[in-house]
Amino acid sequence: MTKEQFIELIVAEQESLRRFLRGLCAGDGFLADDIAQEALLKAYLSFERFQGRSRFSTWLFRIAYNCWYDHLKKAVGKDDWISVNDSDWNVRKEVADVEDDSHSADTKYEQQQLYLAIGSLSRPEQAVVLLFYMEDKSVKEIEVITGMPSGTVRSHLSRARVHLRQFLEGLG
Amino acid sequence: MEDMKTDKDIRKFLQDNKIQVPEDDAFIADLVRQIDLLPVPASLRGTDEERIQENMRILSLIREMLRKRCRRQALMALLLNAVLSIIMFAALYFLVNPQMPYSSPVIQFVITWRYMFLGAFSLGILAFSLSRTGLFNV
Repeated sequence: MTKEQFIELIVAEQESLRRFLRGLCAGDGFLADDIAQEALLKAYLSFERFQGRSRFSTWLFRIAYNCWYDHLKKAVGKDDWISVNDSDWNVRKEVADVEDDSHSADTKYEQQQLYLAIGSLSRPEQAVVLLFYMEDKSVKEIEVITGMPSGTVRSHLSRARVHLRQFLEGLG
Repeated sequence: MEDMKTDKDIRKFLQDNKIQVPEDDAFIADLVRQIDLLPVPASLRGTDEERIQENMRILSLIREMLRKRCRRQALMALLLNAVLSIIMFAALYFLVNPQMPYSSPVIQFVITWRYMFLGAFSLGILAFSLSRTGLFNV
């Protein structure tokens, strides 16, 4: 593969990768893009390690997830990374308000509820929900990306599903 | 808010309200600029594929050479074996023939007794040689 072909591949994958990171970074687009850039540069420099056992996008997501995880650990400390930081998700709401001017008031309202709902989940649950529902990744792929065993992925999904349902129905 | 009854509903709601990523930003341009500043990794120089093809070609040539050499050796062994077998069978034929002047009852006894075994042994060697030539491989 050549450098140009690699760039073509990452151009095709960048949107979903950045969306996933925006979700994980509670809507902080600047931070998400910084992490995405770091992840894509790491992928570029370590391309020889890509063995083709998983899809290219899965490999990229795995690098990005690890970058985000490292960043989070540095920012909040090793013990606190799982818990939810509500202020993060307040930022998300504000960013959503600014970014989505083109959307109708109803859509904006629903998106805000969605952000709040996702924000109410634990961080591993957020990652699993974003990958499974937004990026259409399979449990097997989520297992590869997050490094969690499939049983853990399934239990996170199940808990998140109940949580999301309750939260959204409660708002309705 | 929609009623979130099923998994499908949750998926649909999340898909309909996907997080927006700006399309016309400088993200890719900036990334490409940074990539250009970095050295090109060996795995992305486009030479890997050529090198693999070249190595495969060399290996294929070596394999073919060894195969030809083995076949030649096996064919020579087969010919030698056939010649030796003809000589041996001819000798045996003449030795067991009582009309021959140098034939004796002892020689006749030993040879007729071992005749079958010698023949089988010789045929075994011939068959082995034939199989090693690879002439019957599909």
